[in-house]
Amino acid sequence: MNERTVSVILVIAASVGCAEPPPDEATIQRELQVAPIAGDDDRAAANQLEREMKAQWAGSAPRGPVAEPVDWDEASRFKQLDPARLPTEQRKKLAEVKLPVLAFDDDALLATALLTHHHNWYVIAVKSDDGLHMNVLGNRNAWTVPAMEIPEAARAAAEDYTLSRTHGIVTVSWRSFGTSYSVDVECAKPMSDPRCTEDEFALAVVEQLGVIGGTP
Amino acid sequence: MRRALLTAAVLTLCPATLVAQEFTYNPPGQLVSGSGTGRADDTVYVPEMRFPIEVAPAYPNSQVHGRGGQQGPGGGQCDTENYSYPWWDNYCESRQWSMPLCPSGTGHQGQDIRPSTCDKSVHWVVAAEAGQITSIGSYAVSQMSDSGTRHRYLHMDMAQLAITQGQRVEKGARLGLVSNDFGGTPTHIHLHYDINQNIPSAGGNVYVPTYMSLVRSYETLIGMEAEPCEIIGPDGATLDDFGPCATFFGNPQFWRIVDSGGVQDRFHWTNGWDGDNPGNWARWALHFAEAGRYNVEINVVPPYNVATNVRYLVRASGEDSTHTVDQSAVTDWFSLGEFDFAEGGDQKVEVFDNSGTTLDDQHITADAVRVTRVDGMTGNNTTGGNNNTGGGGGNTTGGGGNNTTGGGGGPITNNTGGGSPPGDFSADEIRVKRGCCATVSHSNDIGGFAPLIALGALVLRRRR
Repeated sequence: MNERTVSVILVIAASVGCAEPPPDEATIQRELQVAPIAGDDDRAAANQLEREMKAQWAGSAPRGPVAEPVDWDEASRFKQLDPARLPTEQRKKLAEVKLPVLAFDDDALLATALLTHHHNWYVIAVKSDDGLHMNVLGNRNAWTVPAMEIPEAARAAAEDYTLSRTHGIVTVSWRSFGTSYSVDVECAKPMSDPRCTEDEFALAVVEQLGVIGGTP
Repeated sequence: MRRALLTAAVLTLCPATLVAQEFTYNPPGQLVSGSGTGRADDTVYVPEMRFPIEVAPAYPNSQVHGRGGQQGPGGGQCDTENYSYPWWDNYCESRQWSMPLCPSGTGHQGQDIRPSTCDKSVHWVVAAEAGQITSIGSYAVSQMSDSGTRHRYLHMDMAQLAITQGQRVEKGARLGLVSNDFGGTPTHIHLHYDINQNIPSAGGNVYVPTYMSLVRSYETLIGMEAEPCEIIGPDGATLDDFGPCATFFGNPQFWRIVDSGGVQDRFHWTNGWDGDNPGNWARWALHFAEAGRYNVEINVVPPYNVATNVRYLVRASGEDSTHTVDQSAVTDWFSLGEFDFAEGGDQKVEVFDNSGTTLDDQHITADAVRVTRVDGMTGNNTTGGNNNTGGGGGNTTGGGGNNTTGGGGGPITNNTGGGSPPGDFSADEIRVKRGCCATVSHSNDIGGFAPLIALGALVLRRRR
């Protein structure tokens, strides 16, 4: 902190705060008259500091969401799954999803599928009799965060995938077709089921996904 | 530590008004010592979310490094230390799994939250936003908002869920009860809550910091009036800035008070600026004894009326409208328009400081709000939407403007029914009462240099 900053702080500390007696009208009028005068560096600095401190208080907020453009050509070249493998009620929803719908290449799992969606995102949730719950999320509603600090690890993830866990639930996230996808794997016995304790199962699930629908 | 000092010092500006047991929180990114490196991130990723536990108090802190935790300092999970303020961030707490936004590249994906008491299957978890229940697993429930934010709730009592997979829920809807379900694995009674958004620059669908979204939503939760602050009678009322229905938000030092002029010879003012979000704003809560049509007026006090694009929000009968006012063009009372208010509360007038100006000394008055019955229907409830006729009234030169039936050329521009106005100003910030002290308090006694320390801390924070 340089002397300049300290002096500004002192000026403000002396002029604001709850215990401060309010300025009389003459003082305020004088301040207002003084304010526009060019060269009044202290006053300009005090105003600038107030703006900066307000900005700190206001913080940043994510901006969006904005629908990411989808590379449908790339999606059309990807592994395709027959939509008829989905239960009829779920299959009907595919046309309402505005991004490529990746789904599990497993008839037993697809028979249990529930598709939820809202234009630019979808989730297909499936389960097995032995306590496995999985879902695949596709989401083209993108947010930007001003001045977001992104560790190098995140930059690397953008080029490949991220495998994460919490309380035994495995999450694999990646980018495809110009937008974002993730798969979650949850086990009824998260601390002993190798499908959740090991990485291989979740990664294999991601590898066998195929496009089952979606509408440009 | 600098950030902790910030919280403590700012609040020590007005120690006389601090209240014991009030909500306090450690800064985002400050984890329990030895539990890893947090992410110091002020961003409110979901600005208007509902705090995910229905009733306060609630206590976000680590269930691993807290009392009774696997790596905690001993004691039991029900230790009072776990059920007291301040809050502790535990996003990015040490884990071996990848977390792109954590400084170490690994860490905890969300926030552990304890309910008000150490009792399982008692406290309700509620939906943070409106949306759909997309999956229900063995101990996890996921919900997507329409805008594509995923909220995830873990460890509820899965045998007593209040929702089904695929169901649409509204913000605040009950989902289930806080418990410790974890596939037979022991864990504390707590809610693990996390937020996942698609942020391409961070690699796609990522778990974002939850802490400040929780802080904001909790401030809103505890700021809700259990009882109406004041009931406006059938003919209307004047709500002063020092009355029980006025609340001032943002950095308290920039809400100045003048003890001469205005209603009851006292009023607040601040300076306008050009932020996307407000740095300071004020709210007058409105609770009506009778539904009806009322004229809403605001008082300004020269010369504290310099700003020319001062934004107001009026919520009437569940509908928000925004109004931009040239305060420099009016001298005392001016009308924001006529509105159809419903009987009861959850209605308000707000004024914001982010008026878009980069000029110095752009004073904005925040004094009193006056509502006056204009439909001549006293004693007869009316219904219907919010038909703002805009402008005019008071001692101004008339007004009205966009989307109104009023005249043009006045100091006011109205924009009815467009939902929330631009910027993140309807989300609550540190709550400030009477232009003085934030209710976010800290008991540290910093001494007589507190104001300077506070300002110094803010500068340090700015430069972080």
